[in-house]
Amino acid sequence: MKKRIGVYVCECGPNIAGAVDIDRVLEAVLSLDGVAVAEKYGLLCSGDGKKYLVEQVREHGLTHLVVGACSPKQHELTFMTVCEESGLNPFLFQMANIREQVAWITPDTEKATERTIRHLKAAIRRVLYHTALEQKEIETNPDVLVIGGGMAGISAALSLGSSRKVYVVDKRDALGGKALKYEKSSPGMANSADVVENYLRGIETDENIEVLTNTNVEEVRGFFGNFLVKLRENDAESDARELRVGAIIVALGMDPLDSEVLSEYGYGKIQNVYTSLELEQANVDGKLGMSGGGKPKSVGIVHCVGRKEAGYCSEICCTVGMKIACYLQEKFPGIAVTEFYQDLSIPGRGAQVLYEEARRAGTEFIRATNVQLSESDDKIKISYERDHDKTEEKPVDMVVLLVGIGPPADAEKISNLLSVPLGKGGFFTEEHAKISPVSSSIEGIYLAGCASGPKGIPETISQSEAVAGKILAGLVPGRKIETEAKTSRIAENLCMGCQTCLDVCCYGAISYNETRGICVVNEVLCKGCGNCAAACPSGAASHQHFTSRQVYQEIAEIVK
Amino acid sequence: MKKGHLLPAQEGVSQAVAGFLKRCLEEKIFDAVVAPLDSHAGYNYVLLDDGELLDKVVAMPPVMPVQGAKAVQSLTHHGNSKKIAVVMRLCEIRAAVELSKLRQTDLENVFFIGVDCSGVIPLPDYLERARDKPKDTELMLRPLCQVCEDFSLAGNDRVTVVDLHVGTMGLGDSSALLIPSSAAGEDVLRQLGMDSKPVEEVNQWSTKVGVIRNERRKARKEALADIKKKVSGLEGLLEVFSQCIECHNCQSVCPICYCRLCFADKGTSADTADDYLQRANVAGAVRHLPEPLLFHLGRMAHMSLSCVSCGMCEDVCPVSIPVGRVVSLVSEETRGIFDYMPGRSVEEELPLARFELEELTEVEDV
Amino acid sequence: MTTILKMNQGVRAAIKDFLRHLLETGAVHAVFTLRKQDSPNVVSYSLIADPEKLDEATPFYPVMPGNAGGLLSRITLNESFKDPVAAVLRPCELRAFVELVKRQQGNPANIVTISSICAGVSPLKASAQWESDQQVDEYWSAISNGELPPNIRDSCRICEHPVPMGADIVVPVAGEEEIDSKCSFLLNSEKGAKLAEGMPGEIGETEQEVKEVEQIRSFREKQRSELATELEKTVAGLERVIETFASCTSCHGCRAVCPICYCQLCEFDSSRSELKAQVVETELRKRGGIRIPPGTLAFHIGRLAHMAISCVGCGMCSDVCPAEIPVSSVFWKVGKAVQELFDYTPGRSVEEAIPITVFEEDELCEVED
Repeated sequence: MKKRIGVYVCECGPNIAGAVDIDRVLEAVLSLDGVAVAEKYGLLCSGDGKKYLVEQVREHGLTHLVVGACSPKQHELTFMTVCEESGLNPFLFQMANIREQVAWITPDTEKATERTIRHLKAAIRRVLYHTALEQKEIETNPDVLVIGGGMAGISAALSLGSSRKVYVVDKRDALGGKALKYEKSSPGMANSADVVENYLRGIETDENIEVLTNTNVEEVRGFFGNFLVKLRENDAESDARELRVGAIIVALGMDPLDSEVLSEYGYGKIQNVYTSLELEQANVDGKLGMSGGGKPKSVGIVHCVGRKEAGYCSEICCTVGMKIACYLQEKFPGIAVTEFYQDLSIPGRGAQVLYEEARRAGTEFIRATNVQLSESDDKIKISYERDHDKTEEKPVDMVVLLVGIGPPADAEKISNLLSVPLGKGGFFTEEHAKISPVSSSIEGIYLAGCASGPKGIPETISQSEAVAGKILAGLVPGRKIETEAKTSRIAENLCMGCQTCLDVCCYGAISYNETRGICVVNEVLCKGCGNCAAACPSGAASHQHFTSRQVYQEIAEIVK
Repeated sequence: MKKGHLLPAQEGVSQAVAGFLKRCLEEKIFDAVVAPLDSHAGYNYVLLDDGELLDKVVAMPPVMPVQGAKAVQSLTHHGNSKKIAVVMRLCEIRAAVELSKLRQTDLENVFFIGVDCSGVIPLPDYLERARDKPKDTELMLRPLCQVCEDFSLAGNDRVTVVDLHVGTMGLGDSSALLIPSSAAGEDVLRQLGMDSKPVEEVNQWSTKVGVIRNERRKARKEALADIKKKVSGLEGLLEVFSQCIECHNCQSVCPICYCRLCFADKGTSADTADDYLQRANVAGAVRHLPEPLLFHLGRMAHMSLSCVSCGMCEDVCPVSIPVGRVVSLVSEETRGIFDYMPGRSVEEELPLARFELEELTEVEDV
Repeated sequence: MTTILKMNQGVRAAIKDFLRHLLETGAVHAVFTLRKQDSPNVVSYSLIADPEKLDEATPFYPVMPGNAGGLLSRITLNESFKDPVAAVLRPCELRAFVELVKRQQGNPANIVTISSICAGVSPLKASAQWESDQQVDEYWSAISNGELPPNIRDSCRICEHPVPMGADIVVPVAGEEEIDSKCSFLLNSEKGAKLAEGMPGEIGETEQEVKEVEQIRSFREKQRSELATELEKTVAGLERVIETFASCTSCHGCRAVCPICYCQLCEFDSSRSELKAQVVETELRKRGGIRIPPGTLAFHIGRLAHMAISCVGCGMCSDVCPAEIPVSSVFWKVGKAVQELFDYTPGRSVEEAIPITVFEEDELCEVED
C-alpha cells in the first residue's frame, strides 16, 4: 500500500512559531518521498487541535503521522490517542521535539529552522520503518500469595482478604514472626504480643485467608496476574501443592546479623552477654536476670553491633536499647544502666520521649568507639574509647548487644525463585528506593517489612497497607490488564541460544526453550527496555519499536 | 613439580596416543573420542568409538583446517550425554571453554586431552606445497603460531581446563609424557593402572617448553609492536583493511563468532540507492558500501575479549590481510582492561556479562 | 548490425574520457566502476560523481574484488537509482545482475550498462600480492599480442560468454591487438547511442561478431574441452566428488561471494543444518566414526540445487576458497548441464523467466515412465 505521511508542525503559540520559519520547514519536507501533506497549526494539543488532526488523517487517508512539537514526554501519548481515534495504529507515528531541542535552545532563527528541517526529515524517514504494534489484554487471577507470616505478612493479608483469596505461607509452625517475642514495643510501650494476637484472630476468622504453616515455596513461574506457585510442606515426603495467584508479597522479615560479628564481643564465650532479641525473649518468658539466677546490679548496653561490617544503620536498635533500659530499671530498681553508643538514632515522635525518660531514670549515655569486652574477676569489663581519645573501662554484671538487623535467612533462595535481586546488605531490592519502595522490579511481586531493609513496626504496617493498596487497584477481580506493545522479539531462525539476552533481562521476561535451543520473549512480561536487543551480537533479538534499521535511518537522515 | 606418566613412543607420539585412547575405549572409560585423523582429505576431527580408526590418529597435525572448538560446538551445542575424550591443541580447548560460557558447547561430559603444539602451517601453503612434502621445514608457521605462548601446559597458569596433557617437547622422538592436571585426569590414569610420578622427563619437558616460550614471548612483543604501527590511526586501519572484499571468511571460521547471521550481513545500515548517490555527490567518490572497516571493528567489539589468537582468520583471508594479528593486538588490550584470559577457566565470567560497581572508573566523570 | 564509435586512443584512456564526458555533460549523475584505493594496487568498486575523481578510476582493471552484479543488486534492492548512473561491468557481472533482477533482488531502472568483450581477470590470491604495475602491464601486453592473458581465473579461461548480453555499450578488449592505440565502442542501444553524442571519433555500422571475437571464442573452447576432460578425471562419479570436496572446511566463503546466492540466511547456516544426535548415533553404529563438523558435501550439492540454474561462471567462489577446491569449475559444469536441459542461458534477458518458475507440460519427458 502506498505510504501517505502527514506532517504537522505545532506553532505552540509563540514558542515555536516565534523561533522557527515554519513555512520554510513545511516546504522542505513536502518534497520528501511519501509525504502527502504538510501543515502547521496553532496548538495541536488543544481540544480543537486534536480534532483537527483526526479530521486530517481521515481526509487525506494518511497511513503515517509525524508531528513536530514539544517533547514526546509531554504529548506523545496525546497524539497516539489521536491516531487511535482516527483509525490509525498509534505506533505508525513519530514525534519530533522541535521545542525543547530546537526553539528553546537558540535565538538564531536561521539555525533553528535548519535544525527543525533535519529533525522532521529524520522523523519522517524513521516512521517509514515503523510497524503497527498491538497491545494485548490478558485475564488475571486476583488472588495473592504472602510469603512470610510475621507482622508484614499478616497485616497485608488482612487488608486484602475482604476482596479475594489470600494464601499466607510460613516455614515455621506458627504465624506471628519476631513481634511475638517483644513484650513491649516502642513507641507507647504497648504489649506487642497482644497486638499480634489481635491480628491473628482476624486472620482466623477471615474465610478468604488460608494459612499454610510448615510450608515452603518451591517454585514460582508465570507473571503478574498469572503466577503458578508450587508449595511443599517441610516434611519432604509430602506432595507439592500448586496454586494460581495474581500477585506475590515478599514479607520474609529479618534475622539478626550473624554470630561472627557477635563473637568479637565475646558473645558465646563470656557469661551474661546477651543479644537484644534474647533479652526480649527472656523478658517475655519471665526469666530476666543473670545466668546463675542472680540480679544484675549494672548493665552495659552496646549499640551498633555489626553496623560497620554491614555498612548500614539498622534504624531501630537505639530505641530498642532505651526500651531495654526501661525494662531493666523496672525489674531491677536501682540498676546502673550504661548505653555505649556511636551515634544516637532517635527519629519520630516517640523516640525522643523514651530517650529523655531513660536519662531521667538514671541511664548513662556514653559516646564510645572501639568497645571491647573481657572477663575480669566476676564481672565483665567493658573497655572503650570515649570521644575518640580517652580509653576508659567500666565493669558490669551483664551486657546486652544491640545487634543489627540482617536479611532473612531464606533471602537468597527466595530471591532466586522470584528473580527479585538482592541489593546492599542482602535485602530484597525495591524498584526505586525513593519513589517505588514497595514494588520489586518484577511486576506483581511486592515487598513489605524488613525483607527490603531494617525498619520498625509502624513502617512495616505502612508498607503492607501500601502493597495491599497497589494490589487492590491493579488486580481488580474480573478486570483484564493491558500489556506493553513496544516489546522485544527474538527471531527464531537467528537465535543461537547463547542466553546473553536472558542474562541481561531485568524483568525475567526471557526464557530458554531447551527443545528448540532458542530464547523466547514473554510479551506480557517484557517492558521494552531493549537490553536484550543491545546485548545480542547478531541482532536476533530486536526491539520492535527501536529496530536497528529505524535507529540507523533516523541517524543517517539527521547527519546528512 | 608436576607428575607425569612416561609413555613409550617407539613408533611415534601419534601411535602412543592412539594406543592410550584405544585402551580407554576398550575399558569403557569413555564412550567415544574426538581426535584429528589423517584421512584422504587431510587432517580432520573425527568422533569415533571404533578403536581401529585410531590407527589413523595424528596427535599434532601440521595444519588446522577447522578450529577444534567448532567441532566441539557442532557436537555438543544441544547438549551431550556421552563421555567423550577430546584431543586438541590448547587454543582450541580454550575456545571451546569460551563457547561454553555462551552456551554453544556443553562441556559437562567432555574430557580434554591437550597436546604440545609447535604450531601449524597456513592452510594455503600446506595445500600448495606441504601436502606432498610433509617434512618440508622451510615452511613458516602461521604468524600467530610464531608468537604463541600457550602452546603447552608446562609452567602455564593461563590454561586450567585441561584434564590430561600430552607433553612431547624436549623428550626426543621415542617418548611422551601424560600429565594429569585435574582430578578426572588422575582418575583416568589410575583406572588404567598408569602411575604418575615426578619423573626426570617432566623437568626436561618443562625446561624445553620454557625456552621456547621465552623466544615466543619476545617474538610476540615485536610482532605486536609491528602490527600496531601498521594499524595506527584511521589511515593505518583503512590501509590495512582496504583490500578486504567482505567475503567474511574470517568471521565464519572464527570459533568465537557463533552468530548464525552476522550483524554485518543484516543490511541494517544499507543505504538506499539515492542515499548512496547523495554520498557520492558530497564526497566526489564513495567506495561501495558497506565500508569493510565497519565489519571488522564491529566484529572486534563483539569477540576480541574472547579471542584465543589461533590464527584461523588469517589463514582463510583470500587477500592476505593480517587480520589475526590485528585482532590479537586489540584482544590483548581489551581483555587487559578486565584482567581476563579467554579459556582460562569455565567459572571465569565473560567481562561483558558481569557487572562490577567499581570498574572502568577512569572513564567516569571526576 | 550495430552502431560503432571508433577512436584513435588506447582503450584505457578512452573509457575514462568517455566516463568523464558522461559526467560533465550531465548525461549521468555518477559512474559505478573500479577505482584505486589509498593502498597501492588495491581497487574496489566505487560510485564516482565528481569528474575530477575519475583520475583514480580503473575500469577494466584485471581484478574482480566482488561481482559487481551482486553489488548493484544490494544497492538497488529496495529502490532503484533515481538519477541516471553508468555502471562498468564485465559480461558475467551483468548477467548476474539480470538473474538477480528476475528474483526481485535488484532494480535496473536508470542504470546504463557499459561492458567489455572480456579478457578475464586475475585470481584474487595473486593480485593481493602485486607490488607494482608489472602484472597489469603484462596483462595488456598479452592482449596487444592477440593472446589471452596468462594467469587468469580458471573460470575466465573457459568462459563461454565473453561477449556481453544486453549491455547498452560494449567495448571490445579481448583479442584487440591495437588496444593500446585504437579502440571502439559498440553502441547497442538507443540509450547507449545517445550517451556517445559529443564524443570525438568515427561513427559507423558493424557486425557484432568479428574475427577477433571468433579467435577468442575458439581459444576458450579449447580450454573448455581440456578442462572438461580434467574434470572428468577428478570430479566425475560419487567417489571423486567426495574426494574433491573432502578438504572443504565449511567456511561457506563461496556462498558469501556468489552473486546469485542472495539469501540473507543460507539454509545450510540455519538450525536445520545442524548436526543431529540421531545422525551421530547412526554413523557411529554404521561406520564407527563421523567427521565433525560434518556436512561439507551436502552444502555444495544443496547450493548447486538452488543456484546452478543461474550460475554465470564468474569464478568468485574459487578465488576465496581457502582449501583450493575448484568450486567454480564444478559449479560451471553442473550449471551448464542444468541450463542446457532447459535451453536456458542465465542473464540473456530479463524477460526470460527462471525455469523453476515456469511450468511446461511437455518437459523432461525422459524421466517420465
